[in-house]
Amino acid sequence: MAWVQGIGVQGIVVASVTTGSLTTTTGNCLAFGAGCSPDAGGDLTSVTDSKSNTWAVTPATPVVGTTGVNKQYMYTAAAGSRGASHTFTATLAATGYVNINVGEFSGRAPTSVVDTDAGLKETLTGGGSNFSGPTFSPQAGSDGFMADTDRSSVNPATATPSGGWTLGTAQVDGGSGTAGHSQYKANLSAGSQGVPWQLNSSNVEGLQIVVALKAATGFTIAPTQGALAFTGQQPNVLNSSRPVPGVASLALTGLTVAMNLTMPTSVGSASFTGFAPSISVVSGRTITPASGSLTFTGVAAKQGFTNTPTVGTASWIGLQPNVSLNTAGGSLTPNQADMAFVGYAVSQTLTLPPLLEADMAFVGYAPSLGGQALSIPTPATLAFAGYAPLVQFPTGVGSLSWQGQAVALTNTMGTTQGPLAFTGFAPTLSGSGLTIPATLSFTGFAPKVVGQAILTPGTGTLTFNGNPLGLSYINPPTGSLSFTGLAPTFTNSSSRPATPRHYMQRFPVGTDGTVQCVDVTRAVAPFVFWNEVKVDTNGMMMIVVDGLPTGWDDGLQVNAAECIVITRTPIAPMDWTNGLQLDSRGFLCVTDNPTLPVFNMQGMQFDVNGYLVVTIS
Amino acid sequence: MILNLSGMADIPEVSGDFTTVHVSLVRAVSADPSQWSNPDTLVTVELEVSDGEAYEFGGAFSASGGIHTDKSGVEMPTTAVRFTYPRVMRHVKGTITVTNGPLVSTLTLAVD
Repeated sequence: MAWVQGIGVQGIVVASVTTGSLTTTTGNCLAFGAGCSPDAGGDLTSVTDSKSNTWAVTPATPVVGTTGVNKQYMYTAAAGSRGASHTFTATLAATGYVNINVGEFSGRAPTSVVDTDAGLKETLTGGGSNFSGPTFSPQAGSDGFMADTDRSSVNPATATPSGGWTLGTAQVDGGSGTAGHSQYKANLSAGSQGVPWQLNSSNVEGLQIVVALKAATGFTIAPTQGALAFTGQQPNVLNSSRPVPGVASLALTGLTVAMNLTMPTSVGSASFTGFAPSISVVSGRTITPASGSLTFTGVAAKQGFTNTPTVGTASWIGLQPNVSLNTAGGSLTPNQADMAFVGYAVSQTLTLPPLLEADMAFVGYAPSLGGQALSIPTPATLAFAGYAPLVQFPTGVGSLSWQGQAVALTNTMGTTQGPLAFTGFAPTLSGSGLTIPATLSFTGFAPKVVGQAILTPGTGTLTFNGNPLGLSYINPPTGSLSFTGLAPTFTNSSSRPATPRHYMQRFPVGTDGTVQCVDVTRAVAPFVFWNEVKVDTNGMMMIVVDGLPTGWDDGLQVNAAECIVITRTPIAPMDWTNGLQLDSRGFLCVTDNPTLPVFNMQGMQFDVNGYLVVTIS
Repeated sequence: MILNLSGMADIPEVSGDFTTVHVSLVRAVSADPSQWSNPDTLVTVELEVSDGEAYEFGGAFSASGGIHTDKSGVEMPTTAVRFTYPRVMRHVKGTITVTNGPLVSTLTLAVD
């Protein structure tokens, strides 16, 4: 904070002079150097400005020339009225000579701004042109401002500061009037020091006053179009007005300022890194990033948030804000912007209207979506990684994906052209009309289907990768249907096949080579279903009753249902150790002789229908 | 600009890139007392300057007539005022107001 600007005027044989206008800034300090030549007219009677500020003279008495012809005064106005068309006037008691050098400084103390001052009448002799200036001892951080009046013998008189000082303003008509200039130096070091400068003249007397303007311990941030940044410890903003970044950027890094924040329509960016501020939004106020971006990194703000149609970006990393929308009609609408929630999700009312082009993602805890409907963004993506929300699914053509806990699909999913994917836990499908979009895929656990849910792949692809699906019914799809891994289990009666009726009789072959009867509850015949059908060491198939085929008195018959059954009619053959043979007539028979069929009265023939029949002679 | 003026008159516009405006008015001296000789004749000059946008106040001064001498007794032939500005200006114009005239003088306006 230092020198802002300066302005001056020099009058020869005048009664008063007024500078041109400046646009000064509220809170800035003004220093007013005025020099005159009383012997050529009147002494200085007043200094005034167009803002009617109060001017404090410092030091109390002016620096007076050797012959009394010249005087130098210094005035300050630490605070007061500032603004456009700000002019400064010096008035003499009578027509004479006068010069004005005014400087504006920022970041100065609003009261008791004068740290110290010093005046010096300094005469150059012997052809010298170097002024050492008044000696003063400011405190560190003060800004120095020096004004002088000299009657140079040359015109124009040229003053050149040195020692780190900079020329502020210059009144150069030394040949016929009273020349003068001002110079300044920001952020002075503490301790005794001078105000060096040179003049293109010699044997001249310079009347100089330097004033040290104290730095402010608190300051005002006025509306700005520039960038405003705080790094490290943040200030306490105490003024009642609100900082308004306008088209500029406002960045607060570190501990955050406590402030009232109003962000009007803006194209600038506002960001908070570290602890975010507590934002108290009064009724009807909104935070609208517009086309800019609004970012909170770290602990999020508590705020009311309405993101009206915008092309900007809003994002939160870390704890999410509590979004308090209006009790009715509130919405969070990223529209064309991207909106991402990483970490704890916001509690909000969410409306994604159609025709969105933005992406919306939740990583971590998903929000509770209590709205009537969640419209999948049209060409955009909506993704939940982690806990999925409870939602309803109307029509959409965008992609929708879940990673982690899946949503329970309890309602109709309208026809969609976008892919629907579940990575991790699959959803529980219930309801009566679940229409699968173009692509429905489950990676990981397959969904559980309860009730009368109908899964209709439509024309798309239905893919299950991982654990099997307990499907109730799958309508014939025109698309592809595939299962990778364990096959699905059909548990609903509506999905049973029409034939065969006795499909429950399954005879798997065990590890010992036996074929076993399973699913005994569905058995109809034969009644000795608990017996085993084995293949003996001769390669013969046999029925084993209680372990060994002894005491067999039943025979193989064809019952009324045209099934081969075991009969309890013990006619023949008696020797069950014999094998089944074809006799010389081509009949299948039981024989004691593996070469010839000695018992041929029990032949097996095929009837006209091609069925095997057993003939008992 | 030769003046024989009572009341107010415009000072014509001067253009150019400048940060300083010089305005001078010829005063009475013993050798030529016809110029602005009446000590009661008060002249006020007000300027407007522009950097290319709207005009703004550019400064002002006032002075009375009569013969005026400096500390050495030298008669000053002119009243001269030098206005400086913190940025480059491009146009300057003004008005001159005479009280207790008429004013007979010559006004010169220069920029640099």
